[in-house]
Amino acid sequence: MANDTKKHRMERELAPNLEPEWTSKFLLELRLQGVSGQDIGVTLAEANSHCAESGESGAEAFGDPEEYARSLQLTPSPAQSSEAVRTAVLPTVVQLAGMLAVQATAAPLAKGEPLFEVTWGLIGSLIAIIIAVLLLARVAPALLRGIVKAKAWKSIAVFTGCFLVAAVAGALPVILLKDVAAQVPVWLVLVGGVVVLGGGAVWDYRSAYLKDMDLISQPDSGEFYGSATAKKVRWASTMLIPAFTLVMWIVFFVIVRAS
Amino acid sequence: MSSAEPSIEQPEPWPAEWLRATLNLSVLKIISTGPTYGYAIAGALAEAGFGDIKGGTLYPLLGRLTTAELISENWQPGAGGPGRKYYEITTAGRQQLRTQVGQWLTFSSAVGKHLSSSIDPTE
Repeated sequence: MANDTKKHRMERELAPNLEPEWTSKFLLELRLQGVSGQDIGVTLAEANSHCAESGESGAEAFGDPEEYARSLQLTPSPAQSSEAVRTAVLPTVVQLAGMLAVQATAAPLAKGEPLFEVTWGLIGSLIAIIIAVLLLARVAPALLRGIVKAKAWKSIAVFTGCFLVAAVAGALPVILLKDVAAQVPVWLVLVGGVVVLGGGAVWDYRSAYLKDMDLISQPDSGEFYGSATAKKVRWASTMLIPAFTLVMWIVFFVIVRAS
Repeated sequence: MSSAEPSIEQPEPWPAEWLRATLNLSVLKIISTGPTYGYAIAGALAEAGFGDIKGGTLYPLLGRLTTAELISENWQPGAGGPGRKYYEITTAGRQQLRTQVGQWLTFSSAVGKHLSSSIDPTE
């Protein structure tokens, strides 16, 4: 099964003497418990070493992978606590706020309007989006466990549901509350938005959460699994919102200009 | 291992609760003879007559002993094969072993005396 080999490449590399299916369930359960990648790596390497010598399969030596993972009672890493996850999304919240401000200048700039009208709806939407992101970060660990353990269609339904609720909560105020709260020069909004967006991106890049990414250790080589990819992911993750903002701004500008 | 005794004959697995009560101390005893690793500990237990102790029982126990700081652990990369995690007894572990072995010998001789005296020879 070529597909199966590809699917379990990490499991085979980390624990060649265990069944990839067993390893996969074992890793998932430890990750859900919030155990650090360092501890996961050493624990898995020990199980692999045991089976290499005894000739047993993972299931024969350790029984059910999830029960075994729980019976080890490993201490959850502070970097994986819900507190840490909450802190980790803060740079994203800042970036989103910056993105909205930058985005809002595309239309007035295209039309050559010098003043930007801040409506009560815009303020409301901003608050709604920030609350939605913070709420999501708060329930993320519990939600993640539920989604991972549930059937695929259920997880998709939950995700879509959450996204729709957030989208409606974010869009409704802008549409309904058109009263102008303040008038601000467009260039000020643009510069402010860029500064906030850039600051959020730098904060994100330097945050501990992205910095070590809590990869699984490989005690034999002293390396971490996938650290080369992780560096790229760190960059890609930092550039995501600024790049998206730039593209959307240009698209908006061109569309408004043309019409 | 240092035990010169031949393997004890074991017609069927020992009751799980007997093992639960004695494994901690017995594993500590094995580790007290020098740094060793999981699979070797399982081998020493089998040789000592405990039967086939599975990894699923042994490693959580080693984890609890480590958390209690009775033993310490240390990864040693293998030459050409997978490495091993070595366990070493700590001063606190040695102390615990000394006290509890004394207690256990008193306890088991009391149990032995009690159980053998209650057999009715007329039956």
